[in-house]
Amino acid sequence: MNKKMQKNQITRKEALKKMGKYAALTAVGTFLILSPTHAAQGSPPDPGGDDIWN
Amino acid sequence: MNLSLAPDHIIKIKDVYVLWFQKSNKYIVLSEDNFTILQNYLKSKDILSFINNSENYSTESSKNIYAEVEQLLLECHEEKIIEPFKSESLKDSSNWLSKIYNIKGVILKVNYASQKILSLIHQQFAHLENTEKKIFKAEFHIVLENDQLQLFKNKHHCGSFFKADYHLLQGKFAIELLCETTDTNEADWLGAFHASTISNQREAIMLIGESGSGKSTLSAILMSAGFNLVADDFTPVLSKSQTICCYPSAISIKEGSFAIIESLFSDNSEIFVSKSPKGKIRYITPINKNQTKEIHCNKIVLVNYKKNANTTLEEVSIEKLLNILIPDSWISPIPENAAYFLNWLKQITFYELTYSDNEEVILKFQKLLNN
Repeated sequence: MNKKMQKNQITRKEALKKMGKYAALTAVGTFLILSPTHAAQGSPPDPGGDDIWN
Repeated sequence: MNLSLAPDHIIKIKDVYVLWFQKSNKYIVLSEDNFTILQNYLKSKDILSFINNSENYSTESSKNIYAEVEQLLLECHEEKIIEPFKSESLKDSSNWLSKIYNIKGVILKVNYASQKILSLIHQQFAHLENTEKKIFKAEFHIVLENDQLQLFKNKHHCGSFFKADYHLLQGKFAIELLCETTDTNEADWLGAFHASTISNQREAIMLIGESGSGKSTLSAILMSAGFNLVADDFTPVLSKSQTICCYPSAISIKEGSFAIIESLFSDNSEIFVSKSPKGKIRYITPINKNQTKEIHCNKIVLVNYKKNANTTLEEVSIEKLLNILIPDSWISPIPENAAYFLNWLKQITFYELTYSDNEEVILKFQKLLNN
């Protein structure tokens, strides 16, 4: 499993939690909360990739 | 009245509303019905007046909805506190690995404290290396100190990053590089999107998708067919003009796509083996025949490579696209820039591409750009 997948799974879990938290609004129609990253970034590292620091 | 919790910007795009909150820099996407509920909450003086105005919902449902809207708005007004980094000073050293790059006539010098640090940045810009120029506009130093990566521009400290967060160093370096090459400040940028961008001479198309979705490979395929490569994996947009600026890094191709790339390019790429944080990467020199530095973009394509799939390109809902675009990108938290972002979104048509065949996907993009 690569890191991005892990990251996405966490995101989905968080999303489900959030949807539970806002179940009534979600039932009414489209409802998304989206947060951009707090700074510009390159492509995030692959967790399965090489650790260049070791 | 709960107007103190109102969003700072609201825009309607097709059948959804996109709201922005300055304190948290969060975006909310709502259907018309949910937006009506939120408006009702904001103009109600208490829960009773909210229930009285909520004719379509039972009292019990209205109570739940009221509580959720309140919780949502409070969450969106939670201020995001970003700890300032501890200022460091640049120490003298004679062991710098120095590289000089010529980026569209702007000469920059970057000093790396080690080979490992060099591998984080240099491979993307190796095609711009210039060994003859001695006078440079700006100088960067990147060093590992106190177990953190430290970035200096003209000897002024401009960021500290944990080793594992080297992608944040790359992002900060990219913004500083863009500011130098375009004579701008960070506040002039609407955002930097996790996207690749291709263009013809008139307009650009942004390609988005999760890592591994095939953005970079598709960019290389389209570049080999004569499209310009404006940016790979990091697409910067200027706020006032809402134009995409060329970001001149090489296209990074992961090992899984080497065979495709080798069939398209023969000799203008090099393989860096291992010790790149992402393992084996092949870097393709970008080709951009467009002489202008900035280009308009009003089409964004969500890319999915799917083996043996038929090639389809269809319009897709804004909520599906924003769900990928926003969490993976930096969007300026400055209110004026957030307004420019929303204004830009209104002009965009969103597509979803599924593809497996190179020839078919090239035809799709030729048609899309001619439209």
